[in-house]
Amino acid sequence: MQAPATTIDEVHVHPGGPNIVRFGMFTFLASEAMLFAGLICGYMVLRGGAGYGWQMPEALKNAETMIKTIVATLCLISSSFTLHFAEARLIQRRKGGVRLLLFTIVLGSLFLTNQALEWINLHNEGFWFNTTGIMGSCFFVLTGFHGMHVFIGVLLLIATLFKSLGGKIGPQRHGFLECTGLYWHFVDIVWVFLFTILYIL
Amino acid sequence: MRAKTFKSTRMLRLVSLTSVLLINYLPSVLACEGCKEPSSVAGGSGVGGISASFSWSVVFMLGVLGFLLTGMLFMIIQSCKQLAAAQNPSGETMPEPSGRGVRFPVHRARVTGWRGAKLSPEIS
Repeated sequence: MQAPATTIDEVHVHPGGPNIVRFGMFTFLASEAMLFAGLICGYMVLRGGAGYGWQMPEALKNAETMIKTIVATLCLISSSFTLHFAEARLIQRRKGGVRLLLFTIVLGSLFLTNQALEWINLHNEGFWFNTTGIMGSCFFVLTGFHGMHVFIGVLLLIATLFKSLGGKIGPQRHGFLECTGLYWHFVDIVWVFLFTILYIL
Repeated sequence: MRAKTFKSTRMLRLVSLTSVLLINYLPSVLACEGCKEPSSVAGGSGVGGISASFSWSVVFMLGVLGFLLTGMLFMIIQSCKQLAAAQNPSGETMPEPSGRGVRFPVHRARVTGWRGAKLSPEIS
């Protein structure tokens, strides 16, 4: 006889006991954090070695790009807050949860759009992986990895939206939503680090 | 089972095709020849700069590791507390081998889950 299959949401509901799904998600995020830490360390070593030879391209230094990136950063940070409130509302089946989730998706998409435009702009100015030395390689690898994570996060948020519209998220079934939320907050925190080292320092 | 195998074969085919397409763009994302430039820079930065930044990167990596391990430890402790509370809902004293009673730090079972959502109707 075959045991009944359990889903991520069913495993999560274990009254009073430890939350295994959340623990698994934290372990995954820890490995992701080490991946980004490795990339940041590589960047630190290369940048420290280059010293004054480290030249930021004009396309990244100008005020317009900086303002756009700051706005995109604010979008990403505020999307964490909107998701936080959306989670609380969706779990308790209160009004406005879906709207807030949708707003989070829009904010995440805005960030991605800005990054794509920035990449296109840099490419048009001749700044690419293999044209501007280590600076170019580091910049595109770091922002590219992060952008890929944001993209996956947006896809997960869309999946969560469909789940909530189908009534599959509630007080007893919210493992997927919680994991998506953790992932999104992680991506957000990583960007704060990347923004600081790539654009400010 | 058969449908599952078919699905995974189809997925594998799709991934292979995408990879072949992406390989075309590979030369454009390869690192340039000048990527060893930091070691050739002399003066305040150069090799000295590399060693200093290498040290800082090790400190940073250790910091991240410490942060993660602390977080994990905190989570394990919290999970143990929850489990203990679930096994001892009334907060009864647990007899120790020595005869002294030990009271759990959390006396009530958490009948509510994340942000007040009820986990199980039969507990409440």
